[in-house]
Amino acid sequence: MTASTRRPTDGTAGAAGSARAGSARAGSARAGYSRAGRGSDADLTALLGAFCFFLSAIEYMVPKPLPFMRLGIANLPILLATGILPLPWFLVLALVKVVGMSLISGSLFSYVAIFSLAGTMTAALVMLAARKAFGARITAVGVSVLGAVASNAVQIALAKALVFGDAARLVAPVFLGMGLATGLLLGLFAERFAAASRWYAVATGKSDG
Amino acid sequence: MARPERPAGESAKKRAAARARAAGLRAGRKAAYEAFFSPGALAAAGAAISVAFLLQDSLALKGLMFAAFAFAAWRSGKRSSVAATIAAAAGIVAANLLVRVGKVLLTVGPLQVTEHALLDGIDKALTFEGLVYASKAAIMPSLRLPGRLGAVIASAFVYYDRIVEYAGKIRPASLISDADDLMLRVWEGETAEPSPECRAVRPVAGYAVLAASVLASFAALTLK
Repeated sequence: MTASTRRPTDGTAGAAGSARAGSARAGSARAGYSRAGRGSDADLTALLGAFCFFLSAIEYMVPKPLPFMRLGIANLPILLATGILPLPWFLVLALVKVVGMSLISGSLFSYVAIFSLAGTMTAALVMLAARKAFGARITAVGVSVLGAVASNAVQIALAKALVFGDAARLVAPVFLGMGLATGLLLGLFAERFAAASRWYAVATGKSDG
Repeated sequence: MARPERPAGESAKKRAAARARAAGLRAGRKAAYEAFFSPGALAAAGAAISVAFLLQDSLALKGLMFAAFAFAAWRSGKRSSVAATIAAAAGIVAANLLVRVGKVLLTVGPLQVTEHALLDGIDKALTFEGLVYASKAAIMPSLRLPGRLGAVIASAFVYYDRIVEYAGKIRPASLISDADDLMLRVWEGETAEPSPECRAVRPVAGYAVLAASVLASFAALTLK
Protein backbone atom coordinates (compact mmCIF):
# COMPACT_ATOMS: atom_id res chain seq x y z
CA MET A 1 0.00 0.00 0.00
CA THR A 2 1.13 3.48 -0.58
CA ALA A 3 2.24 6.04 1.93
CA SER A 4 -1.05 7.88 2.01
CA THR A 5 -3.05 5.02 3.42
CA ARG A 6 -0.75 4.00 6.27
CA ARG A 7 -1.49 5.21 9.79
CA PRO A 8 0.97 6.94 12.08
CA THR A 9 2.65 4.35 14.25
CA ASP A 10 1.44 5.88 17.55
CA GLY A 11 -2.14 6.28 16.25
CA THR A 12 -2.52 9.64 18.04
CA ALA A 13 -5.19 12.06 16.88
CA GLY A 14 -6.55 15.38 18.13
CA ALA A 15 -4.43 18.28 19.30
CA ALA A 16 -1.44 16.12 20.06
CA GLY A 17 -1.70 14.65 16.60
CA SER A 18 -1.80 18.14 15.26
CA ALA A 19 1.38 19.02 17.11
CA ARG A 20 3.05 15.98 15.64
CA ALA A 21 1.75 17.00 12.26
CA GLY A 22 3.69 20.23 12.57
CA SER A 23 6.93 18.48 13.25
CA ALA A 24 6.10 15.85 10.68
CA ARG A 25 5.60 18.60 8.13
CA ALA A 26 8.89 20.21 9.03
CA GLY A 27 10.48 16.79 8.70
CA SER A 28 8.72 15.97 5.48
CA ALA A 29 10.21 19.00 3.82
CA ARG A 30 13.57 17.38 4.40
CA ALA A 31 12.53 13.80 3.76
CA GLY A 32 10.62 14.43 0.54
CA TYR A 33 7.71 12.13 -0.16
CA SER A 34 8.92 9.06 1.63
CA ARG A 35 7.13 9.84 4.89
CA ALA A 36 3.92 8.05 5.79
CA GLY A 37 0.79 8.72 7.85
CA ARG A 38 -0.65 11.97 9.15
CA GLY A 39 1.41 15.00 8.26
CA SER A 40 3.09 13.13 5.41
CA ASP A 41 3.13 14.80 2.03
CA ALA A 42 0.78 12.10 0.71
CA ASP A 43 -1.73 12.75 3.52
CA LEU A 44 -1.55 16.52 3.09
CA THR A 45 -1.91 16.16 -0.69
CA ALA A 46 -5.04 14.06 -0.16
CA LEU A 47 -6.49 16.65 2.23
CA LEU A 48 -5.77 19.56 -0.12
CA GLY A 49 -7.14 17.51 -3.02
CA ALA A 50 -10.37 16.94 -1.08
CA PHE A 51 -10.55 20.69 -0.44
CA CYS A 52 -10.22 21.20 -4.22
CA PHE A 53 -13.15 18.79 -4.82
CA PHE A 54 -15.26 20.66 -2.28
CA LEU A 55 -14.55 24.08 -3.78
CA SER A 56 -15.13 22.64 -7.22
CA ALA A 57 -18.56 21.42 -6.11
CA ILE A 58 -19.35 24.95 -4.91
CA GLU A 59 -18.11 26.37 -8.22
CA TYR A 60 -20.29 23.87 -10.08
CA MET A 61 -23.37 25.55 -8.60
CA VAL A 62 -22.42 28.95 -10.08
CA PRO A 63 -24.05 29.35 -13.52
CA LYS A 64 -21.54 29.59 -16.38
CA PRO A 65 -22.05 30.55 -20.01
CA LEU A 66 -19.94 27.58 -21.12
CA PRO A 67 -19.12 24.34 -19.31
CA PHE A 68 -15.35 24.77 -19.27
CA MET A 69 -15.40 28.37 -18.07
CA ARG A 70 -14.48 28.33 -14.40
CA LEU A 71 -14.10 30.94 -11.70
CA GLY A 72 -11.00 29.16 -10.45
CA ILE A 73 -11.86 29.05 -6.75
CA ALA A 74 -10.88 25.36 -6.71
CA ASN A 75 -7.29 26.55 -7.26
CA LEU A 76 -7.19 27.97 -3.71
CA PRO A 77 -5.66 24.81 -2.17
CA ILE A 78 -3.03 24.79 -4.93
CA LEU A 79 -2.22 28.41 -4.16
CA LEU A 80 -1.84 27.53 -0.48
CA ALA A 81 0.23 24.45 -1.38
CA THR A 82 2.93 26.59 -3.05
CA GLY A 83 4.17 27.28 0.46
CA ILE A 84 3.65 23.77 1.82
CA LEU A 85 4.33 20.90 -0.59
CA PRO A 86 7.59 19.95 -2.31
CA LEU A 87 7.54 19.93 -6.14
CA PRO A 88 6.67 16.23 -6.77
CA TRP A 89 3.71 16.30 -4.39
CA PHE A 90 2.67 19.73 -5.60
CA LEU A 91 2.34 18.26 -9.10
CA VAL A 92 0.53 15.21 -7.70
CA LEU A 93 -1.94 17.60 -6.02
CA ALA A 94 -2.65 19.30 -9.36
CA LEU A 95 -3.23 15.87 -10.95
CA VAL A 96 -5.41 14.71 -8.04
CA LYS A 97 -7.53 17.83 -8.49
CA VAL A 98 -8.02 17.24 -12.22
CA VAL A 99 -8.61 13.48 -12.07
CA GLY A 100 -10.72 13.58 -8.89
CA MET A 101 -12.93 16.37 -10.19
CA SER A 102 -13.30 14.51 -13.49
CA LEU A 103 -14.38 11.39 -11.59
CA ILE A 104 -16.92 13.34 -9.53
CA SER A 105 -18.39 15.12 -12.54
CA GLY A 106 -17.90 12.12 -14.84
CA SER A 107 -16.08 14.23 -17.42
CA LEU A 108 -12.82 12.26 -17.51
CA PHE A 109 -13.04 11.44 -21.23
CA SER A 110 -14.38 14.79 -22.38
CA TYR A 111 -12.86 18.05 -23.56
CA VAL A 112 -13.78 19.44 -20.14
CA ALA A 113 -11.06 17.25 -18.60
CA ILE A 114 -8.54 18.51 -21.18
CA PHE A 115 -9.43 22.12 -20.34
CA SER A 116 -9.20 21.32 -16.65
CA LEU A 117 -5.84 19.56 -17.01
CA ALA A 118 -4.30 22.32 -19.11
CA GLY A 119 -5.70 25.12 -16.94
CA THR A 120 -4.81 23.53 -13.63
CA MET A 121 -1.29 22.44 -14.59
CA THR A 122 -0.53 25.84 -16.12
CA ALA A 123 -1.84 27.71 -13.09
CA ALA A 124 0.03 25.38 -10.72
CA LEU A 125 3.36 25.68 -12.54
CA VAL A 126 3.09 29.45 -13.01
CA MET A 127 2.16 29.98 -9.35
CA LEU A 128 5.00 27.77 -8.15
CA ALA A 129 7.48 29.47 -10.50
CA ALA A 130 6.36 32.91 -9.29
CA ARG A 131 6.70 31.83 -5.66
CA LYS A 132 10.16 30.36 -6.24
CA ALA A 133 11.39 33.26 -8.37
CA PHE A 134 10.20 36.11 -6.21
CA GLY A 135 9.93 34.51 -2.74
CA ALA A 136 8.68 36.99 -0.17
CA ARG A 137 8.74 39.84 -2.71
CA ILE A 138 5.50 38.62 -4.27
CA THR A 139 2.19 38.47 -2.40
CA ALA A 140 -0.40 35.71 -2.66
CA VAL A 141 -2.45 38.16 -4.74
CA GLY A 142 0.34 38.45 -7.29
CA VAL A 143 0.89 34.70 -7.41
CA SER A 144 -2.83 34.05 -7.74
CA VAL A 145 -3.39 36.64 -10.50
CA LEU A 146 -0.45 35.29 -12.52
CA GLY A 147 -1.75 31.74 -12.19
CA ALA A 148 -5.35 32.62 -13.06
CA VAL A 149 -4.49 34.71 -16.12
CA ALA A 150 -2.03 32.09 -17.41
CA SER A 151 -4.61 29.35 -16.89
CA ASN A 152 -7.30 31.28 -18.72
CA ALA A 153 -4.94 32.16 -21.57
CA VAL A 154 -4.13 28.48 -22.11
CA GLN A 155 -7.82 27.60 -22.00
CA ILE A 156 -8.59 30.24 -24.62
CA ALA A 157 -5.91 28.74 -26.86
CA LEU A 158 -7.50 25.31 -26.38
CA ALA A 159 -10.97 26.72 -27.01
CA LYS A 160 -9.65 28.18 -30.28
CA ALA A 161 -8.23 24.82 -31.32
CA LEU A 162 -11.08 22.57 -30.18
CA VAL A 163 -14.35 24.45 -29.95
CA PHE A 164 -14.61 28.06 -31.09
CA GLY A 165 -12.11 28.47 -33.88
CA ASP A 166 -11.16 32.09 -34.58
CA ALA A 167 -14.18 33.33 -32.65
CA ALA A 168 -12.26 32.50 -29.47
CA ARG A 169 -10.65 35.94 -29.66
CA LEU A 170 -14.10 37.44 -29.06
CA VAL A 171 -14.50 35.71 -25.70
CA ALA A 172 -10.85 36.19 -24.77
CA PRO A 173 -11.18 39.67 -23.17
CA VAL A 174 -14.11 38.57 -20.99
CA PHE A 175 -12.38 35.34 -20.03
CA LEU A 176 -9.07 37.03 -19.20
CA GLY A 177 -10.94 39.73 -17.27
CA MET A 178 -12.67 37.02 -15.26
CA GLY A 179 -9.30 35.43 -14.54
CA LEU A 180 -7.92 38.75 -13.33
CA ALA A 181 -10.89 39.39 -11.05
CA THR A 182 -11.12 35.90 -9.56
CA GLY A 183 -7.33 35.67 -9.24
CA LEU A 184 -7.37 38.92 -7.29
CA LEU A 185 -10.18 37.83 -4.96
CA LEU A 186 -8.67 34.38 -4.47
CA GLY A 187 -5.27 35.90 -3.67
CA LEU A 188 -6.80 38.29 -1.12
CA PHE A 189 -8.66 35.42 0.53
CA ALA A 190 -5.56 33.20 0.54
CA GLU A 191 -3.48 35.95 2.12
CA ARG A 192 -6.00 36.52 4.91
CA PHE A 193 -6.49 32.79 5.40
CA ALA A 194 -2.76 32.08 5.57
CA ALA A 195 -2.27 34.89 8.09
CA ALA A 196 -5.10 33.79 10.39
CA SER A 197 -5.22 30.02 9.96
CA ARG A 198 -3.96 27.70 12.69
CA TRP A 199 -4.13 24.79 10.26
CA TYR A 200 -1.90 26.57 7.74
CA ALA A 201 0.62 27.38 10.47
CA VAL A 202 0.73 23.70 11.44
CA ALA A 203 0.93 22.53 7.85
CA THR A 204 3.82 24.86 7.04
CA GLY A 205 5.63 23.80 10.20
CA LYS A 206 5.49 27.31 11.68
CA SER A 207 3.46 26.13 14.65
CA ASP A 208 2.96 23.00 16.68
CA GLY A 209 -0.79 23.67 16.68
CA MET B 1 -60.24 42.71 2.76
CA ALA B 2 -59.82 39.07 3.52
CA ARG B 3 -57.67 37.24 1.04
CA PRO B 4 -59.09 34.07 -0.43
CA GLU B 5 -57.56 31.09 1.28
CA ARG B 6 -55.16 29.24 -0.97
CA PRO B 7 -54.37 25.61 -0.47
CA ALA B 8 -51.29 25.95 1.75
CA GLY B 9 -48.33 25.16 -0.50
CA GLU B 10 -50.30 22.54 -2.43
CA SER B 11 -48.27 23.02 -5.61
CA ALA B 12 -45.03 23.16 -3.64
CA LYS B 13 -45.90 19.82 -2.05
CA LYS B 14 -46.67 18.35 -5.47
CA ARG B 15 -43.35 19.61 -6.81
CA ALA B 16 -41.50 18.18 -3.81
CA ALA B 17 -43.25 14.84 -4.27
CA ALA B 18 -42.38 14.83 -7.99
CA ARG B 19 -38.74 15.63 -7.18
CA ALA B 20 -38.61 12.85 -4.61
CA ARG B 21 -40.15 10.42 -7.10
CA ALA B 22 -37.61 11.44 -9.77
CA ALA B 23 -34.74 11.07 -7.31
CA GLY B 24 -35.99 7.61 -6.36
CA LEU B 25 -36.21 6.55 -9.99
CA ARG B 26 -32.72 7.93 -10.68
CA ALA B 27 -31.30 6.05 -7.68
CA GLY B 28 -32.92 2.86 -8.98
CA ARG B 29 -31.39 3.34 -12.44
CA LYS B 30 -27.99 4.04 -10.87
CA ALA B 31 -28.09 0.90 -8.71
CA ALA B 32 -29.10 -1.29 -11.66
CA TYR B 33 -26.40 0.24 -13.88
CA GLU B 34 -23.68 -0.23 -11.27
CA ALA B 35 -24.74 -3.84 -10.68
CA PHE B 36 -24.59 -4.54 -14.42
CA PHE B 37 -21.21 -3.04 -15.36
CA SER B 38 -17.77 -3.44 -13.82
CA PRO B 39 -16.33 0.09 -13.19
CA GLY B 40 -12.96 -0.76 -14.79
CA ALA B 41 -14.42 -2.43 -17.88
CA LEU B 42 -16.94 0.37 -18.29
CA ALA B 43 -14.22 3.03 -18.12
CA ALA B 44 -12.03 1.14 -20.63
CA ALA B 45 -14.97 0.72 -23.02
CA GLY B 46 -15.88 4.40 -22.57
CA ALA B 47 -12.34 5.46 -23.45
CA ALA B 48 -12.34 3.29 -26.60
CA ILE B 49 -15.78 4.49 -27.72
CA SER B 50 -14.75 8.12 -27.12
CA VAL B 51 -11.83 7.63 -29.52
CA ALA B 52 -14.18 6.18 -32.17
CA PHE B 53 -16.55 9.10 -31.59
CA LEU B 54 -13.74 11.62 -32.10
CA LEU B 55 -12.70 9.89 -35.34
CA GLN B 56 -16.25 9.82 -36.72
CA ASP B 57 -16.58 12.13 -39.76
CA SER B 58 -20.26 11.67 -40.48
CA LEU B 59 -22.42 14.26 -38.73
CA ALA B 60 -25.47 11.97 -38.84
CA LEU B 61 -23.63 9.05 -37.22
CA LYS B 62 -22.13 11.40 -34.70
CA GLY B 63 -25.65 12.57 -33.89
CA LEU B 64 -26.75 8.94 -33.42
CA MET B 65 -23.81 8.25 -31.12
CA PHE B 66 -24.59 11.42 -29.19
CA ALA B 67 -28.17 10.16 -28.64
CA ALA B 68 -26.82 6.77 -27.48
CA PHE B 69 -24.43 8.47 -25.04
CA ALA B 70 -27.22 10.67 -23.66
CA PHE B 71 -29.40 7.57 -23.18
CA ALA B 72 -26.56 5.68 -21.46
CA ALA B 73 -25.87 8.67 -19.17
CA TRP B 74 -29.58 8.77 -18.29
CA ARG B 75 -29.57 5.03 -17.54
CA SER B 76 -26.50 5.47 -15.33
CA GLY B 77 -28.54 7.69 -13.02
CA LYS B 78 -26.17 10.64 -13.42
CA ARG B 79 -27.63 14.12 -13.22
CA SER B 80 -27.67 16.00 -16.50
CA SER B 81 -29.55 19.06 -17.64
CA VAL B 82 -31.08 19.18 -21.10
CA ALA B 83 -31.36 22.98 -20.83
CA ALA B 84 -27.66 23.33 -19.98
CA THR B 85 -26.73 21.00 -22.86
CA ILE B 86 -28.81 23.03 -25.33
CA ALA B 87 -27.45 26.33 -24.00
CA ALA B 88 -23.82 25.19 -24.27
CA ALA B 89 -24.36 23.73 -27.75
CA ALA B 90 -26.10 26.92 -28.90
CA GLY B 91 -23.18 28.96 -27.56
CA ILE B 92 -20.65 26.86 -29.46
CA VAL B 93 -22.63 27.02 -32.72
CA ALA B 94 -23.19 30.77 -32.32
CA ALA B 95 -19.50 31.39 -31.71
CA ASN B 96 -18.61 29.44 -34.86
CA LEU B 97 -21.15 31.41 -36.89
CA LEU B 98 -19.35 34.65 -36.06
CA VAL B 99 -16.59 33.66 -38.49
CA ARG B 100 -18.19 33.41 -41.95
CA VAL B 101 -17.02 30.45 -44.01
CA GLY B 102 -18.83 28.99 -47.03
CA LYS B 103 -22.11 29.69 -48.79
CA VAL B 104 -24.46 32.20 -47.12
CA LEU B 105 -27.60 30.33 -46.04
CA LEU B 106 -29.40 33.05 -44.16
CA THR B 107 -29.00 36.67 -43.15
CA VAL B 108 -30.39 37.75 -39.79
CA GLY B 109 -29.70 41.46 -39.30
CA PRO B 110 -25.93 41.88 -39.23
CA LEU B 111 -25.34 38.12 -38.86
CA GLN B 112 -24.77 35.97 -41.92
CA VAL B 113 -25.26 32.24 -41.37
CA THR B 114 -22.79 30.41 -43.56
CA GLU B 115 -22.96 26.71 -44.44
CA HIS B 116 -19.48 25.58 -43.45
CA ALA B 117 -19.48 27.59 -40.23
CA LEU B 118 -22.89 26.16 -39.28
CA LEU B 119 -21.90 22.53 -39.95
CA ASP B 120 -18.56 23.03 -38.22
CA GLY B 121 -20.32 24.55 -35.20
CA ILE B 122 -22.83 21.68 -35.01
CA ASP B 123 -19.99 19.15 -35.30
CA LYS B 124 -18.02 20.83 -32.50
CA ALA B 125 -21.09 21.15 -30.28
CA LEU B 126 -21.98 17.47 -30.83
CA THR B 127 -18.40 16.43 -30.09
CA PHE B 128 -18.15 18.57 -26.98
CA GLU B 129 -21.48 17.55 -25.48
CA GLY B 130 -21.24 13.95 -26.73
CA LEU B 131 -17.97 13.41 -24.89
CA VAL B 132 -19.50 14.85 -21.73
CA TYR B 133 -22.38 12.34 -21.90
CA ALA B 134 -20.07 9.45 -22.89
CA SER B 135 -17.87 10.28 -19.94
CA LYS B 136 -20.82 10.50 -17.55
CA ALA B 137 -21.98 7.08 -18.69
CA ALA B 138 -18.51 5.52 -18.50
CA ILE B 139 -17.16 6.85 -15.21
CA MET B 140 -18.53 5.46 -11.97
CA PRO B 141 -17.58 7.05 -8.66
CA SER B 142 -16.50 3.58 -7.47
CA LEU B 143 -13.80 3.43 -10.16
CA ARG B 144 -10.41 2.89 -8.48
CA LEU B 145 -7.35 4.09 -10.34
CA PRO B 146 -4.17 2.05 -9.90
CA GLY B 147 -0.87 3.18 -8.43
CA ARG B 148 0.18 5.85 -5.98
CA LEU B 149 -1.92 8.55 -7.67
CA GLY B 150 -4.97 6.28 -7.40
CA ALA B 151 -4.32 5.75 -3.68
CA VAL B 152 -3.97 9.48 -3.01
CA ILE B 153 -7.21 10.15 -4.92
CA ALA B 154 -8.99 7.44 -2.88
CA SER B 155 -7.75 9.08 0.35
CA ALA B 156 -8.85 12.47 -0.96
CA PHE B 157 -12.37 11.10 -1.43
CA VAL B 158 -12.40 9.96 2.22
CA TYR B 159 -11.40 13.49 3.30
CA TYR B 160 -13.96 14.93 0.89
CA ASP B 161 -16.76 12.99 2.63
CA ARG B 162 -15.66 14.47 5.96
CA ILE B 163 -15.52 17.99 4.50
CA VAL B 164 -19.03 17.63 3.08
CA GLU B 165 -20.29 16.47 6.51
CA TYR B 166 -18.75 19.50 8.19
CA ALA B 167 -19.40 22.08 5.47
CA GLY B 168 -22.85 23.08 6.74
CA LYS B 169 -21.18 24.81 9.68
CA ILE B 170 -19.39 27.34 7.46
CA ARG B 171 -21.03 30.78 7.60
CA PRO B 172 -20.18 33.69 5.28
CA ALA B 173 -19.74 36.06 8.26
CA SER B 174 -16.91 33.97 9.73
CA LEU B 175 -15.69 32.31 6.56
CA ILE B 176 -11.97 32.27 7.34
CA SER B 177 -12.19 30.99 10.91
CA ASP B 178 -14.86 28.44 9.97
CA ALA B 179 -12.77 27.21 7.02
CA ASP B 180 -9.77 26.99 9.34
CA ASP B 181 -11.80 24.94 11.85
CA LEU B 182 -12.89 22.67 9.03
CA MET B 183 -9.34 22.00 7.90
CA LEU B 184 -8.14 21.33 11.46
CA ARG B 185 -11.03 19.01 12.33
CA VAL B 186 -10.84 17.08 9.08
CA TRP B 187 -7.07 16.69 9.37
CA GLU B 188 -7.13 15.76 13.04
CA GLY B 189 -9.68 12.98 12.55
CA GLU B 190 -8.68 9.46 11.66
CA THR B 191 -6.09 9.18 8.90
CA ALA B 192 -7.99 8.97 5.62
CA GLU B 193 -8.04 5.30 4.77
CA PRO B 194 -10.15 4.35 1.78
CA SER B 195 -12.43 1.34 2.09
CA PRO B 196 -11.29 -1.64 0.07
CA GLU B 197 -12.51 -1.76 -3.49
CA CYS B 198 -15.80 -3.62 -3.97
CA ARG B 199 -15.06 -6.47 -6.35
CA ALA B 200 -18.60 -7.74 -6.84
CA VAL B 201 -19.03 -10.10 -9.77
CA ARG B 202 -20.95 -8.55 -12.66
CA PRO B 203 -23.10 -10.47 -15.14
CA VAL B 204 -21.43 -11.61 -18.37
CA ALA B 205 -24.14 -9.71 -20.24
CA GLY B 206 -22.61 -6.46 -18.98
CA TYR B 207 -19.25 -7.29 -20.54
CA ALA B 208 -20.99 -8.44 -23.73
CA VAL B 209 -22.87 -5.14 -24.02
CA LEU B 210 -19.63 -3.19 -23.57
CA ALA B 211 -17.76 -5.30 -26.15
CA ALA B 212 -20.61 -4.95 -28.65
CA SER B 213 -20.75 -1.18 -28.10
CA VAL B 214 -17.02 -0.80 -28.72
CA LEU B 215 -17.20 -2.92 -31.87
CA ALA B 216 -20.23 -1.02 -33.16
CA SER B 217 -18.62 2.36 -32.55
CA PHE B 218 -15.54 1.36 -34.58
CA ALA B 219 -17.63 -0.40 -37.26
CA ALA B 220 -19.51 2.88 -37.70
CA LEU B 221 -16.23 4.45 -38.86
CA THR B 222 -16.43 2.36 -42.04
CA LEU B 223 -19.92 3.64 -42.91
CA LYS B 224 -20.39 6.72 -45.02
